[in-house]
Amino acid sequence: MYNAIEELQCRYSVLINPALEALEINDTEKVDDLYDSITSPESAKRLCDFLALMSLPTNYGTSDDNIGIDKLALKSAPGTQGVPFSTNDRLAQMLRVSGFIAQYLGNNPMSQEVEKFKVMIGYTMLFITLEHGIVPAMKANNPPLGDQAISRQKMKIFREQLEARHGVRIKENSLKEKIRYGKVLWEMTKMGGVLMLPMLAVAGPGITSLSHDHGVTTRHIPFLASHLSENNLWMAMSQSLGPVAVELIFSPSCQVYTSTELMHYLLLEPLSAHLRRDLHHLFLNQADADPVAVAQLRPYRNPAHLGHKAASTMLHQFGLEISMFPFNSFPNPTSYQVKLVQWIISQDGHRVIKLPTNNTTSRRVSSTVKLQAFTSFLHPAQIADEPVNFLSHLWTLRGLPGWGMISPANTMKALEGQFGDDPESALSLAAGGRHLGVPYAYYLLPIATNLTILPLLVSLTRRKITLLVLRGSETTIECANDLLKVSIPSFYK
Amino acid sequence: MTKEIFQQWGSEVEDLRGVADMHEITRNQSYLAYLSFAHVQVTGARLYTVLPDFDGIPDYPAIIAACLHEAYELGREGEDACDMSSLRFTET
Repeated sequence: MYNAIEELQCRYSVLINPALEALEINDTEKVDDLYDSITSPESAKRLCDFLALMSLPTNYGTSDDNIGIDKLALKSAPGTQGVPFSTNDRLAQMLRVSGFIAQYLGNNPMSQEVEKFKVMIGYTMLFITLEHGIVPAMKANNPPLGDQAISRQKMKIFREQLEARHGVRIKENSLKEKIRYGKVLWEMTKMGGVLMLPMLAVAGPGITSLSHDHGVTTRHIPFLASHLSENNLWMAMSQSLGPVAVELIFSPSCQVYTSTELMHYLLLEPLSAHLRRDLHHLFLNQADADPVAVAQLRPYRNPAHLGHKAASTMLHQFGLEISMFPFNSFPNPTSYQVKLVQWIISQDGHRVIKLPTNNTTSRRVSSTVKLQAFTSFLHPAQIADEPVNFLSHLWTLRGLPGWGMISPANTMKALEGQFGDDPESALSLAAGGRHLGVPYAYYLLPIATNLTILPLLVSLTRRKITLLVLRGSETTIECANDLLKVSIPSFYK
Repeated sequence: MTKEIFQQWGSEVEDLRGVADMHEITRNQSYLAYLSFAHVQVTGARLYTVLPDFDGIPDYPAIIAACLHEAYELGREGEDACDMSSLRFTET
């Protein structure tokens, strides 16, 4: 079993990647700004909002609505130009227009981002059509054209084809400029993963300033992508939301997603404690968030409609690959594998670890444990109380809003009445106090028999307790109503 | 808190889905299964060592490794290193 534990990857490296440092790329400050912008929890939340909006055909397909610009601007009544309105008339007119504006903005959340995204897709499509449509067709010419000839003529041929098909005049310089932006966007998508496109729409700079002001050139893109491949939030977003983005952008799917649902997909992924806390705060600020509903996420698998493999081959018929994840061109050479068993066995007997500092919980629980106590997890030792209690508290700190995990020791105390007689207050105290400012709606506590530990789910809001039974275990619970009679006497011996 | 309060409430017994094959369960294994289940239920997230396409309950080495990893993460506070595990995120 020790070997099996050691084989599970646990890799670390020094913070600064020497391979990236050795590149000596100048002017990376603006790329760093872009990196910070697209990897913030706020941007993750906006990405969820945006993808959900895109999944609504009425909002994504047609951003126009029936309110014209004439209703959104202050205009004088015919024949009244130059004649000042009375105060009342002025206010009435302004309120009338503001009413339309409130309606327009309410019906078109993120309208600016939607428009920007459409333009970005437009530029990208022009580039893709030129390089993956026109150029291969020129290569297939008889006689075939050489690379230099193709490079010289491709833009002209592309313009002619567009003009012939659509009957419009297109300026070649304008087309070149758009294709240049499209090239940067497609390179960023290929190297950074498919989420680059929607993320740049919600968190990036304007399209034209992307390469000008932000200094993002094809030289910088692998540098940015390598950084992204080491970013916990970007990788978690790529894992959970990448296929959703492909589905919404490149497939004919009519699947509709809500922002809350997409946020749940993201929260399924392993995230650091501080990221999870920040995302929960953002989630709680969302008007339609229902903390209680969140925890019905029993399956590990992301329930998104499209799998990774299907998503990455979505554009194969056009000879294009789509990657969900960033491509790391400069792997960190200092990466090393931690042997967890060796590490825990070698720990000093007095060394302790502490729960992460977190001011979102009014903590009433022990916050430290000796590292050596974790050796009790290794066969054939009997698992000690302390690490289990500690992990219970740790996981409550990472818990979904409204969810608490009560440690075995505190379960015992709560059931014995040591936290008082009021169930809500007693269980809340046993879980370590209120977390994220949200009252607990569900508690999970361990109920022990001689042979096994069973999870007991207590819902205060529904006044219901559910005992979850491990199928195949030898514990017999004959009657749910006798549950506590069976369990409490043998609890945590 | 008394058992009488609980007994006034609605109650039910549910199978723990995905744990069907845990025959000959020992108390230790049961504890680890509980920790794994509780982590998923309370945090809504898969364990560090569990692959994204995994649909079931992790084996014991995976649960132990996940718990030890938590300890390692907290124990290395202040160290100049970052987590590079590629196991967490992978094409499914």
